[in-house]
Amino acid sequence: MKALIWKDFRINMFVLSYGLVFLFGSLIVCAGINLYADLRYGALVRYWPDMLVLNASFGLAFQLLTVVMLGGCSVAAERADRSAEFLAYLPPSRWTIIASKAILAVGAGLFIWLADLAIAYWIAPLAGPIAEELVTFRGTIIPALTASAVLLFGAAWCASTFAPSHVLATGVGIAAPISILCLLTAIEYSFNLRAFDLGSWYRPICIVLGILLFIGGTAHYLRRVEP
Amino acid sequence: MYAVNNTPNTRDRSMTTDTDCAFAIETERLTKRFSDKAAVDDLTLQIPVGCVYGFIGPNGAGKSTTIRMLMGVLRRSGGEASVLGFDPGERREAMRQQIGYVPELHFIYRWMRVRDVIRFCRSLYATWNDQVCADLMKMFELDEKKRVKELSKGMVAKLSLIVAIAHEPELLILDEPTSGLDPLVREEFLDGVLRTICERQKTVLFSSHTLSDVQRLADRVGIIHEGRLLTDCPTDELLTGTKRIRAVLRDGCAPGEPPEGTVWQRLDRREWLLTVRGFTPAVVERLRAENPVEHVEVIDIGLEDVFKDFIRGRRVLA
Repeated sequence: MKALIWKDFRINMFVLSYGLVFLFGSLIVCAGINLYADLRYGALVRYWPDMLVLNASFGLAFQLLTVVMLGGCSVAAERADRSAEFLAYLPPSRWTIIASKAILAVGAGLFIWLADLAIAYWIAPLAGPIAEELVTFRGTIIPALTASAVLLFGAAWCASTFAPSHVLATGVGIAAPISILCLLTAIEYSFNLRAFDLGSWYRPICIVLGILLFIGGTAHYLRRVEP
Repeated sequence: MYAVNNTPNTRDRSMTTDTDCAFAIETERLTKRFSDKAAVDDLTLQIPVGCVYGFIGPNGAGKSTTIRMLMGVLRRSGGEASVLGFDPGERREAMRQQIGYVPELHFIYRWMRVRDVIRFCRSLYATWNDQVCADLMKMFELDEKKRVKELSKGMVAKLSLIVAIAHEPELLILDEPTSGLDPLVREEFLDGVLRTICERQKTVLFSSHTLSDVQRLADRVGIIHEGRLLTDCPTDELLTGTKRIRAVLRDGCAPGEPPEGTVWQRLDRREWLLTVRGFTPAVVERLRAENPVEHVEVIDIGLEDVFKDFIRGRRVLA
Protein backbone atom coordinates (compact mmCIF):
# COMPACT_ATOMS: atom_id res chain seq x y z
CA MET A 1 0.00 0.00 0.00
CA LYS A 2 2.84 2.39 0.90
CA ALA A 3 4.39 1.93 -2.53
CA LEU A 4 1.07 2.64 -4.22
CA ILE A 5 0.53 5.79 -2.16
CA TRP A 6 4.07 6.91 -3.01
CA LYS A 7 3.35 6.32 -6.69
CA ASP A 8 0.05 8.26 -6.51
CA PHE A 9 1.82 11.04 -4.62
CA ARG A 10 4.39 11.31 -7.40
CA ILE A 11 1.69 11.33 -10.09
CA ASN A 12 -0.21 14.11 -8.30
CA MET A 13 2.86 16.05 -7.22
CA PHE A 14 2.13 18.99 -9.51
CA VAL A 15 -1.45 19.34 -8.23
CA LEU A 16 -0.33 19.02 -4.62
CA SER A 17 2.35 21.65 -5.18
CA TYR A 18 -0.29 23.99 -6.60
CA GLY A 19 -2.46 23.44 -3.50
CA LEU A 20 0.40 24.05 -1.09
CA VAL A 21 1.60 27.12 -2.96
CA PHE A 22 -1.85 28.68 -2.67
CA LEU A 23 -2.19 27.63 0.95
CA PHE A 24 1.14 28.95 2.20
CA GLY A 25 1.82 31.44 -0.58
CA SER A 26 -1.32 33.43 0.18
CA LEU A 27 -0.44 33.40 3.88
CA ILE A 28 2.98 34.79 3.09
CA VAL A 29 1.46 37.50 0.88
CA CYS A 30 -1.03 38.31 3.63
CA ALA A 31 1.75 38.55 6.19
CA GLY A 32 3.80 40.70 3.82
CA ILE A 33 0.95 43.18 3.25
CA ASN A 34 0.30 43.47 6.98
CA LEU A 35 3.94 43.94 7.83
CA TYR A 36 4.30 46.56 5.11
CA ALA A 37 1.19 48.38 6.41
CA ASP A 38 2.50 48.26 9.95
CA LEU A 39 5.92 49.56 8.99
CA ARG A 40 4.81 52.18 6.50
CA TYR A 41 1.62 53.53 8.00
CA GLY A 42 1.83 52.25 11.57
CA ALA A 43 -1.38 50.36 11.02
CA LEU A 44 -2.87 48.51 13.93
CA VAL A 45 -2.68 44.78 14.48
CA ARG A 46 -6.46 44.57 14.05
CA TYR A 47 -5.99 44.19 10.27
CA TRP A 48 -4.55 40.72 10.81
CA PRO A 49 -7.80 38.85 11.61
CA ASP A 50 -9.66 40.46 8.70
CA MET A 51 -6.87 39.71 6.31
CA LEU A 52 -6.69 36.12 7.50
CA VAL A 53 -10.42 35.59 7.02
CA LEU A 54 -10.32 37.10 3.55
CA ASN A 55 -7.19 35.16 2.71
CA ALA A 56 -8.71 31.85 3.83
CA SER A 57 -12.01 32.50 2.02
CA PHE A 58 -10.43 33.41 -1.28
CA GLY A 59 -7.81 30.73 -0.71
CA LEU A 60 -10.61 28.16 -0.60
CA ALA A 61 -11.97 29.47 -3.88
CA PHE A 62 -8.56 28.84 -5.48
CA GLN A 63 -8.32 25.45 -3.78
CA LEU A 64 -11.43 24.36 -5.67
CA LEU A 65 -9.07 23.90 -8.60
CA THR A 66 -6.76 21.73 -6.47
CA VAL A 67 -9.69 19.60 -5.36
CA VAL A 68 -11.08 19.09 -8.85
CA MET A 69 -7.64 18.26 -10.26
CA LEU A 70 -7.02 15.75 -7.48
CA GLY A 71 -10.28 14.02 -8.38
CA GLY A 72 -9.75 14.24 -12.13
CA CYS A 73 -6.19 12.94 -12.09
CA SER A 74 -6.84 10.13 -9.61
CA VAL A 75 -7.49 7.34 -12.13
CA ALA A 76 -7.51 8.92 -15.58
CA ALA A 77 -3.94 10.22 -15.42
CA GLU A 78 -2.66 6.64 -15.41
CA ARG A 79 -5.07 5.69 -18.15
CA ALA A 80 -3.92 8.62 -20.31
CA ASP A 81 -0.31 7.42 -20.37
CA ARG A 82 -1.44 3.76 -20.27
CA SER A 83 0.56 3.02 -17.13
CA ALA A 84 -2.75 1.70 -15.74
CA GLU A 85 -2.15 -1.32 -17.99
CA PHE A 86 1.18 -1.97 -16.29
CA LEU A 87 -0.47 -1.72 -12.88
CA ALA A 88 -3.35 -4.00 -13.94
CA TYR A 89 -1.04 -7.01 -14.21
CA LEU A 90 0.74 -6.48 -10.89
CA PRO A 91 -0.41 -8.23 -7.69
CA PRO A 92 -2.32 -5.42 -5.88
CA SER A 93 -6.08 -5.83 -6.07
CA ARG A 94 -8.24 -3.10 -7.56
CA TRP A 95 -9.52 -2.43 -4.06
CA THR A 96 -5.99 -1.70 -2.87
CA ILE A 97 -5.24 0.44 -5.90
CA ILE A 98 -8.37 2.58 -5.56
CA ALA A 99 -7.94 2.77 -1.77
CA SER A 100 -4.44 4.23 -2.19
CA LYS A 101 -5.79 6.78 -4.67
CA ALA A 102 -8.65 7.69 -2.34
CA ILE A 103 -6.33 8.03 0.65
CA LEU A 104 -4.07 10.39 -1.25
CA ALA A 105 -6.73 12.46 -3.03
CA VAL A 106 -9.21 12.71 -0.13
CA GLY A 107 -6.40 13.07 2.42
CA ALA A 108 -4.61 15.83 0.52
CA GLY A 109 -7.87 17.63 -0.31
CA LEU A 110 -9.01 17.49 3.30
CA PHE A 111 -5.64 18.68 4.60
CA ILE A 112 -5.64 21.74 2.36
CA TRP A 113 -9.30 22.48 2.99
CA LEU A 114 -9.10 22.03 6.77
CA ALA A 115 -5.97 24.18 6.91
CA ASP A 116 -7.84 27.06 5.26
CA LEU A 117 -10.87 26.48 7.49
CA ALA A 118 -8.61 26.52 10.56
CA ILE A 119 -7.21 29.88 9.45
CA ALA A 120 -10.69 31.33 8.92
CA TYR A 121 -12.38 29.99 12.03
CA TRP A 122 -9.61 29.42 14.55
CA ILE A 123 -6.41 31.34 13.84
CA ALA A 124 -8.09 34.59 12.67
CA PRO A 125 -10.18 35.00 15.86
CA LEU A 126 -7.04 34.37 17.91
CA ALA A 127 -5.44 37.36 16.21
CA GLY A 128 -8.18 39.71 17.29
CA PRO A 129 -11.79 40.74 16.63
CA ILE A 130 -13.11 40.25 13.08
CA ALA A 131 -15.21 42.88 11.34
CA GLU A 132 -18.94 42.13 11.46
CA GLU A 133 -19.42 42.14 7.68
CA LEU A 134 -16.54 39.69 7.28
CA VAL A 135 -18.13 37.28 9.75
CA THR A 136 -21.29 37.35 7.62
CA PHE A 137 -19.24 36.97 4.44
CA ARG A 138 -17.36 34.02 5.94
CA GLY A 139 -20.59 32.33 7.03
CA THR A 140 -22.01 32.60 3.51
CA ILE A 141 -19.08 31.90 1.24
CA ILE A 142 -17.28 29.09 3.06
CA PRO A 143 -20.23 26.64 3.32
CA ALA A 144 -21.03 27.26 -0.36
CA LEU A 145 -17.40 26.68 -1.37
CA THR A 146 -17.20 23.54 0.77
CA ALA A 147 -20.35 22.10 -0.80
CA SER A 148 -19.00 22.97 -4.26
CA ALA A 149 -15.70 21.28 -3.40
CA VAL A 150 -17.48 18.05 -2.48
CA LEU A 151 -19.34 18.03 -5.80
CA LEU A 152 -16.28 19.05 -7.81
CA PHE A 153 -14.23 16.26 -6.29
CA GLY A 154 -16.99 13.63 -6.53
CA ALA A 155 -17.81 14.46 -10.14
CA ALA A 156 -14.15 14.61 -11.22
CA TRP A 157 -13.37 11.35 -9.39
CA CYS A 158 -16.34 9.61 -11.02
CA ALA A 159 -15.47 10.98 -14.46
CA SER A 160 -11.87 9.91 -13.88
CA THR A 161 -12.93 6.27 -13.59
CA PHE A 162 -14.67 6.50 -16.98
CA ALA A 163 -12.66 9.02 -18.99
CA PRO A 164 -9.59 8.24 -21.08
CA SER A 165 -7.90 11.46 -19.99
CA HIS A 166 -7.57 13.46 -16.79
CA VAL A 167 -8.22 16.70 -18.68
CA LEU A 168 -11.68 15.49 -19.64
CA ALA A 169 -12.36 14.24 -16.10
CA THR A 170 -11.32 17.58 -14.60
CA GLY A 171 -13.53 19.39 -17.12
CA VAL A 172 -16.53 17.27 -16.12
CA GLY A 173 -15.77 18.05 -12.48
CA ILE A 174 -15.73 21.80 -13.15
CA ALA A 175 -18.98 21.58 -15.13
CA ALA A 176 -20.84 19.78 -12.35
CA PRO A 177 -21.49 22.62 -9.83
CA ILE A 178 -22.06 25.09 -12.67
CA SER A 179 -24.72 22.75 -14.05
CA ILE A 180 -26.40 22.42 -10.66
CA LEU A 181 -26.37 26.19 -10.24
CA CYS A 182 -27.86 26.71 -13.71
CA LEU A 183 -30.49 24.05 -13.07
CA LEU A 184 -31.57 25.58 -9.77
CA THR A 185 -31.69 29.06 -11.27
CA ALA A 186 -33.76 27.76 -14.18
CA ILE A 187 -36.18 26.11 -11.75
CA GLU A 188 -36.43 29.32 -9.73
CA TYR A 189 -37.28 31.42 -12.77
CA SER A 190 -39.39 28.86 -14.60
CA PHE A 191 -41.75 28.31 -11.71
CA ASN A 192 -41.53 31.89 -10.43
CA LEU A 193 -40.58 30.69 -6.96
CA ARG A 194 -40.11 33.92 -5.04
CA ALA A 195 -39.51 32.17 -1.75
CA PHE A 196 -36.99 29.80 -3.34
CA ASP A 197 -33.71 29.91 -1.45
CA LEU A 198 -31.09 28.91 -3.96
CA GLY A 199 -28.33 28.55 -1.38
CA SER A 200 -30.24 26.28 0.94
CA TRP A 201 -30.91 23.88 -1.96
CA TYR A 202 -27.53 24.19 -3.63
CA ARG A 203 -25.45 23.12 -0.66
CA PRO A 204 -27.21 19.83 0.26
CA ILE A 205 -27.60 18.86 -3.41
CA CYS A 206 -23.87 19.37 -4.02
CA ILE A 207 -22.86 17.38 -0.95
CA VAL A 208 -25.22 14.44 -1.56
CA LEU A 209 -24.46 14.32 -5.29
CA GLY A 210 -20.71 14.60 -4.69
CA ILE A 211 -20.72 11.69 -2.24
CA LEU A 212 -22.91 9.56 -4.54
CA LEU A 213 -20.65 10.24 -7.52
CA PHE A 214 -17.59 9.32 -5.47
CA ILE A 215 -19.18 6.01 -4.46
CA GLY A 216 -20.46 5.38 -7.99
CA GLY A 217 -17.06 6.09 -9.53
CA THR A 218 -15.33 3.79 -7.07
CA ALA A 219 -17.81 0.99 -7.81
CA HIS A 220 -17.28 1.48 -11.55
CA TYR A 221 -13.49 1.36 -11.16
CA LEU A 222 -13.72 -1.94 -9.28
CA ARG A 223 -15.69 -3.50 -12.14
CA ARG A 224 -13.82 -1.88 -15.00
CA VAL A 225 -11.32 -3.77 -17.15
CA GLU A 226 -8.06 -1.98 -18.01
CA PRO A 227 -7.56 -1.02 -20.78
CA MET B 1 -6.56 -23.48 -54.08
CA TYR B 2 -8.51 -25.46 -51.56
CA ALA B 3 -8.03 -27.21 -48.23
CA VAL B 4 -9.41 -30.34 -46.69
CA ASN B 5 -9.44 -32.38 -43.55
CA ASN B 6 -7.86 -29.95 -41.10
CA THR B 7 -8.50 -32.06 -38.05
CA PRO B 8 -7.70 -30.35 -34.74
CA ASN B 9 -5.55 -32.47 -32.53
CA THR B 10 -6.53 -30.93 -29.22
CA ARG B 11 -6.33 -34.24 -27.35
CA ASP B 12 -2.74 -34.98 -28.24
CA ARG B 13 -0.98 -35.23 -24.89
CA SER B 14 2.15 -37.16 -25.70
CA MET B 15 4.18 -34.97 -23.37
CA THR B 16 1.98 -35.73 -20.40
CA THR B 17 3.10 -38.63 -18.28
CA ASP B 18 2.02 -40.03 -14.96
CA THR B 19 4.54 -37.87 -13.16
CA ASP B 20 3.52 -34.57 -14.72
CA CYS B 21 -0.18 -34.78 -14.20
CA ALA B 22 -0.09 -31.38 -12.52
CA PHE B 23 -0.80 -28.58 -14.95
CA ALA B 24 0.35 -25.02 -14.51
CA ILE B 25 -2.47 -23.86 -16.76
CA GLU B 26 -5.64 -25.75 -17.42
CA THR B 27 -8.67 -24.49 -19.28
CA GLU B 28 -11.86 -26.31 -20.11
CA ARG B 29 -14.08 -24.85 -22.84
CA LEU B 30 -12.85 -21.36 -21.99
CA THR B 31 -14.89 -18.79 -23.88
CA LYS B 32 -14.85 -15.03 -24.19
CA ARG B 33 -17.47 -13.19 -26.17
CA PHE B 34 -17.47 -9.50 -27.07
CA SER B 35 -21.10 -8.73 -27.91
CA ASP B 36 -22.03 -11.78 -29.98
CA LYS B 37 -18.57 -12.44 -31.39
CA ALA B 38 -16.47 -15.11 -29.71
CA ALA B 39 -12.85 -13.98 -29.35
CA VAL B 40 -12.00 -17.25 -27.60
CA ASP B 41 -14.25 -20.18 -28.32
CA ASP B 42 -14.35 -23.38 -26.23
CA LEU B 43 -10.61 -23.37 -25.65
CA THR B 44 -9.41 -26.49 -23.87
CA LEU B 45 -5.77 -26.32 -22.97
CA GLN B 46 -3.45 -28.11 -20.57
CA ILE B 47 0.07 -26.85 -20.00
CA PRO B 48 2.16 -29.14 -17.79
CA VAL B 49 4.32 -27.71 -15.02
CA GLY B 50 7.84 -27.01 -16.31
CA CYS B 51 6.72 -26.84 -19.92
CA VAL B 52 7.65 -24.03 -22.30
CA TYR B 53 4.50 -23.57 -24.32
CA GLY B 54 4.50 -21.66 -27.58
CA PHE B 55 1.11 -20.11 -28.13
CA ILE B 56 0.89 -18.97 -31.72
CA GLY B 57 -1.77 -17.62 -34.02
CA PRO B 58 -2.44 -14.80 -36.47
CA ASN B 59 -3.44 -11.31 -35.30
CA GLY B 60 -6.87 -11.35 -33.66
CA ALA B 61 -6.76 -15.10 -33.11
CA GLY B 62 -7.48 -14.75 -29.39
CA LYS B 63 -4.01 -15.19 -27.89
CA SER B 64 -3.96 -11.96 -25.91
CA THR B 65 -7.60 -12.37 -24.87
CA THR B 66 -6.78 -15.84 -23.54
CA ILE B 67 -3.76 -14.50 -21.68
CA ARG B 68 -5.79 -11.63 -20.22
CA MET B 69 -8.37 -14.10 -18.96
CA LEU B 70 -5.64 -16.28 -17.48
CA MET B 71 -4.19 -13.23 -15.73
CA GLY B 72 -7.61 -12.41 -14.30
CA VAL B 73 -7.74 -9.04 -16.05
CA LEU B 74 -10.67 -10.03 -18.26
CA ARG B 75 -13.73 -11.93 -17.07
CA ARG B 76 -14.51 -15.07 -19.02
CA SER B 77 -17.91 -15.57 -20.64
CA GLY B 78 -17.90 -19.31 -20.12
CA GLY B 79 -15.84 -22.38 -19.30
CA GLU B 80 -13.31 -23.02 -16.58
CA ALA B 81 -9.72 -21.94 -16.06
CA SER B 82 -7.08 -22.78 -13.51
CA VAL B 83 -3.67 -21.12 -13.26
CA LEU B 84 -1.25 -22.64 -10.76
CA GLY B 85 -4.29 -24.06 -9.02
CA PHE B 86 -6.00 -20.67 -8.73
CA ASP B 87 -9.17 -19.63 -10.44
CA PRO B 88 -8.08 -16.41 -12.24
CA GLY B 89 -11.48 -14.87 -11.53
CA GLU B 90 -10.88 -15.17 -7.80
CA ARG B 91 -7.79 -14.70 -5.59
CA ARG B 92 -6.06 -12.83 -8.38
CA GLU B 93 -3.61 -11.19 -6.00
CA ALA B 94 -2.26 -14.48 -4.65
CA MET B 95 -2.09 -15.89 -8.17
CA ARG B 96 -0.19 -12.90 -9.56
CA GLN B 97 2.41 -13.21 -6.82
CA GLN B 98 3.48 -16.40 -8.62
CA ILE B 99 3.24 -15.12 -12.18
CA GLY B 100 5.63 -12.99 -14.18
CA TYR B 101 4.09 -11.21 -17.14
CA VAL B 102 5.75 -9.44 -20.05
CA PRO B 103 3.40 -7.70 -22.49
CA GLU B 104 3.94 -6.69 -26.10
CA LEU B 105 3.82 -2.99 -25.24
CA HIS B 106 5.53 -1.85 -22.10
CA PHE B 107 3.70 0.85 -20.18
CA ILE B 108 5.98 1.14 -17.19
CA TYR B 109 5.67 4.56 -15.52
CA ARG B 110 7.72 6.78 -17.78
CA TRP B 111 8.55 9.29 -15.07
CA MET B 112 10.09 6.66 -12.81
CA ARG B 113 13.79 5.95 -12.75
CA VAL B 114 14.83 2.34 -13.29
CA ARG B 115 15.65 2.02 -9.59
CA ASP B 116 12.19 3.43 -8.72
CA VAL B 117 10.53 0.78 -10.89
CA ILE B 118 12.58 -1.91 -9.17
CA ARG B 119 11.77 -0.56 -5.69
CA PHE B 120 8.10 -0.17 -6.54
CA CYS B 121 7.76 -3.73 -7.86
CA ARG B 122 9.96 -5.14 -5.10
CA SER B 123 7.47 -3.88 -2.52
CA LEU B 124 4.58 -5.57 -4.32
CA TYR B 125 6.05 -9.08 -4.52
CA ALA B 126 6.60 -11.17 -1.40
CA THR B 127 9.22 -13.38 -3.05
CA TRP B 128 11.35 -10.69 -4.70
CA ASN B 129 14.95 -11.85 -5.02
CA ASP B 130 17.45 -8.98 -4.96
CA GLN B 131 20.25 -11.20 -6.21
CA VAL B 132 18.32 -12.31 -9.29
CA CYS B 133 17.37 -8.69 -9.93
CA ALA B 134 20.97 -7.50 -9.57
CA ASP B 135 22.24 -10.28 -11.85
CA LEU B 136 19.72 -9.41 -14.54
CA MET B 137 20.44 -5.69 -14.24
CA LYS B 138 24.10 -6.48 -14.79
CA MET B 139 23.40 -8.88 -17.62
CA PHE B 140 21.19 -6.35 -19.42
CA GLU B 141 23.50 -3.42 -18.55
CA LEU B 142 20.61 -1.26 -17.38
CA ASP B 143 21.47 2.08 -15.83
CA GLU B 144 19.35 2.35 -12.70
CA LYS B 145 19.61 6.15 -12.65
CA LYS B 146 17.93 6.58 -16.02
CA ARG B 147 14.26 7.41 -16.29
CA VAL B 148 12.07 4.96 -18.19
CA LYS B 149 11.26 7.67 -20.77
CA GLU B 150 14.98 7.92 -21.54
CA LEU B 151 15.33 4.21 -22.27
CA SER B 152 15.17 2.66 -25.74
CA LYS B 153 12.34 0.25 -26.56
CA GLY B 154 14.69 -2.68 -26.14
CA MET B 155 15.87 -1.47 -22.74
CA VAL B 156 12.27 -1.04 -21.56
CA ALA B 157 11.53 -4.60 -22.72
CA LYS B 158 14.51 -5.80 -20.70
CA LEU B 159 13.34 -3.87 -17.65
CA SER B 160 9.92 -5.42 -18.11
CA LEU B 161 11.52 -8.86 -18.15
CA ILE B 162 13.49 -8.12 -14.97
CA VAL B 163 10.28 -7.08 -13.21
CA ALA B 164 8.64 -10.28 -14.43
CA ILE B 165 11.45 -12.61 -13.40
CA ALA B 166 13.02 -11.12 -10.25
CA HIS B 167 10.31 -12.42 -7.95
CA GLU B 168 11.04 -15.94 -9.21
CA PRO B 169 7.57 -16.73 -10.48
CA GLU B 170 6.31 -20.27 -10.99
CA LEU B 171 4.82 -19.22 -14.31
CA LEU B 172 6.17 -16.75 -16.84
CA ILE B 173 3.70 -15.40 -19.40
CA LEU B 174 5.20 -13.63 -22.39
CA ASP B 175 2.69 -11.97 -24.70
CA GLU B 176 4.60 -11.15 -27.90
CA PRO B 177 7.42 -9.65 -25.83
CA THR B 178 9.96 -9.34 -28.65
CA SER B 179 7.64 -7.60 -31.06
CA GLY B 180 9.38 -4.60 -32.62
CA LEU B 181 12.79 -5.33 -31.09
CA ASP B 182 15.91 -5.43 -33.21
CA PRO B 183 17.53 -8.88 -33.62
CA LEU B 184 20.35 -8.13 -31.19
CA VAL B 185 18.06 -7.00 -28.37
CA ARG B 186 15.70 -9.87 -29.14
CA GLU B 187 18.60 -12.28 -28.74
CA GLU B 188 19.57 -10.75 -25.38
CA PHE B 189 15.97 -10.81 -24.26
CA LEU B 190 15.59 -14.47 -25.15
CA ASP B 191 18.84 -15.24 -23.34
CA GLY B 192 17.23 -13.78 -20.23
CA VAL B 193 14.17 -15.96 -20.73
CA LEU B 194 16.28 -19.02 -21.45
CA ARG B 195 18.28 -18.41 -18.31
CA THR B 196 15.09 -18.49 -16.27
CA ILE B 197 13.90 -21.64 -17.96
CA CYS B 198 17.20 -23.47 -17.56
CA GLU B 199 18.04 -22.39 -14.04
CA ARG B 200 14.66 -22.66 -12.44
CA GLN B 201 12.58 -25.06 -14.51
CA LYS B 202 9.63 -22.71 -14.57
CA THR B 203 6.57 -22.97 -16.75
CA VAL B 204 6.51 -20.49 -19.62
CA LEU B 205 3.59 -19.50 -21.83
CA PHE B 206 5.16 -17.78 -24.81
CA SER B 207 3.06 -16.03 -27.41
CA SER B 208 4.95 -14.65 -30.40
CA HIS B 209 4.81 -13.96 -34.11
CA THR B 210 8.54 -14.62 -34.35
CA LEU B 211 8.18 -18.34 -34.92
CA SER B 212 11.91 -18.99 -35.01
CA ASP B 213 11.95 -17.89 -31.34
CA VAL B 214 9.05 -20.18 -30.52
CA GLN B 215 10.70 -23.08 -32.33
CA ARG B 216 13.87 -22.43 -30.38
CA LEU B 217 12.25 -22.20 -26.95
CA ALA B 218 9.01 -24.15 -26.91
CA ASP B 219 8.62 -27.77 -25.82
CA ARG B 220 5.07 -27.70 -26.91
CA VAL B 221 3.12 -25.61 -29.40
CA GLY B 222 -0.52 -24.62 -29.64
CA ILE B 223 -1.89 -22.96 -32.76
CA ILE B 224 -4.97 -20.85 -32.23
CA HIS B 225 -7.17 -19.42 -34.97
CA GLU B 226 -10.41 -17.48 -34.57
CA GLY B 227 -10.50 -18.36 -30.89
CA ARG B 228 -10.18 -22.10 -31.45
CA LEU B 229 -7.20 -24.33 -30.87
CA LEU B 230 -6.21 -26.00 -34.15
CA THR B 231 -3.44 -28.11 -32.73
CA ASP B 232 -1.63 -28.64 -29.44
CA CYS B 233 1.31 -31.01 -29.33
CA PRO B 234 5.06 -31.23 -28.61
CA THR B 235 7.11 -29.07 -30.97
CA ASP B 236 9.31 -31.94 -32.15
CA GLU B 237 6.29 -34.09 -32.89
CA LEU B 238 4.66 -31.29 -34.84
CA LEU B 239 7.80 -30.64 -36.89
CA THR B 240 8.73 -34.26 -37.57
CA GLY B 241 5.16 -35.31 -38.19
CA THR B 242 4.23 -32.48 -40.54
CA LYS B 243 5.70 -32.59 -44.06
CA ARG B 244 5.10 -30.85 -47.32
CA ILE B 245 4.62 -33.16 -50.28
CA ARG B 246 5.24 -31.89 -53.78
CA ALA B 247 3.67 -34.12 -56.38
CA VAL B 248 3.81 -33.61 -60.14
CA LEU B 249 0.71 -34.92 -61.85
CA ARG B 250 0.65 -36.61 -65.24
CA ASP B 251 -0.31 -34.37 -68.11
CA GLY B 252 -4.06 -33.73 -68.26
CA CYS B 253 -4.80 -35.59 -65.02
CA ALA B 254 -6.62 -34.24 -61.98
CA PRO B 255 -5.71 -35.20 -58.44
CA GLY B 256 -7.95 -37.51 -56.42
CA GLU B 257 -8.69 -37.30 -52.73
CA PRO B 258 -5.82 -35.89 -50.67
CA PRO B 259 -4.35 -38.18 -47.99
CA GLU B 260 -5.74 -38.23 -44.49
CA GLY B 261 -4.20 -35.55 -42.29
CA THR B 262 -3.85 -32.99 -45.10
CA VAL B 263 -4.06 -29.56 -43.55
CA TRP B 264 -3.53 -27.53 -46.70
CA GLN B 265 -3.12 -28.16 -50.40
CA ARG B 266 -2.62 -26.17 -53.58
CA LEU B 267 -2.84 -27.19 -57.18
CA ASP B 268 -0.89 -25.13 -59.69
CA ARG B 269 -1.16 -26.68 -63.19
CA ARG B 270 0.56 -30.03 -62.73
CA GLU B 271 2.20 -29.21 -59.42
CA TRP B 272 0.24 -30.43 -56.41
CA LEU B 273 1.48 -29.18 -53.03
CA LEU B 274 0.16 -30.74 -49.84
CA THR B 275 0.99 -30.24 -46.19
CA VAL B 276 0.23 -33.40 -44.27
CA ARG B 277 -0.02 -33.80 -40.52
CA GLY B 278 0.92 -37.22 -39.11
CA PHE B 279 3.19 -37.98 -42.04
CA THR B 280 4.60 -41.51 -42.56
CA PRO B 281 6.24 -43.03 -45.65
CA ALA B 282 3.00 -44.91 -46.18
CA VAL B 283 1.32 -41.60 -47.00
CA VAL B 284 3.56 -41.23 -50.06
CA GLU B 285 2.89 -44.80 -51.13
CA ARG B 286 -0.87 -44.23 -50.90
CA LEU B 287 -0.56 -40.95 -52.75
CA ARG B 288 1.30 -42.69 -55.58
CA ALA B 289 -1.18 -45.56 -55.66
CA GLU B 290 -4.35 -43.47 -55.60
CA ASN B 291 -3.30 -40.55 -57.81
CA PRO B 292 -1.87 -40.14 -61.30
CA VAL B 293 1.46 -38.73 -60.14
CA GLU B 294 4.73 -38.74 -62.06
CA HIS B 295 7.01 -37.57 -59.30
CA VAL B 296 6.68 -37.12 -55.52
CA GLU B 297 9.03 -35.18 -53.26
CA VAL B 298 8.82 -34.88 -49.47
CA ILE B 299 10.05 -31.57 -48.02
CA ASP B 300 10.87 -30.78 -44.39
CA ILE B 301 9.29 -27.55 -43.22
CA GLY B 302 9.89 -25.31 -40.22
CA LEU B 303 7.40 -24.07 -37.66
CA GLU B 304 6.70 -20.96 -39.69
CA ASP B 305 5.54 -22.96 -42.73
CA VAL B 306 3.60 -25.39 -40.54
CA PHE B 307 1.85 -22.45 -38.91
CA LYS B 308 1.11 -20.73 -42.24
CA ASP B 309 -0.30 -23.91 -43.77
CA PHE B 310 -2.51 -24.63 -40.78
CA ILE B 311 -3.96 -21.13 -40.92
CA ARG B 312 -4.24 -21.00 -44.73
CA GLY B 313 -5.98 -24.37 -44.75
CA ARG B 314 -8.39 -23.21 -42.11
CA ARG B 315 -9.13 -19.98 -43.95
CA VAL B 316 -9.84 -21.79 -47.20
CA LEU B 317 -12.17 -24.15 -45.35
CA ALA B 318 -13.96 -21.21 -43.77
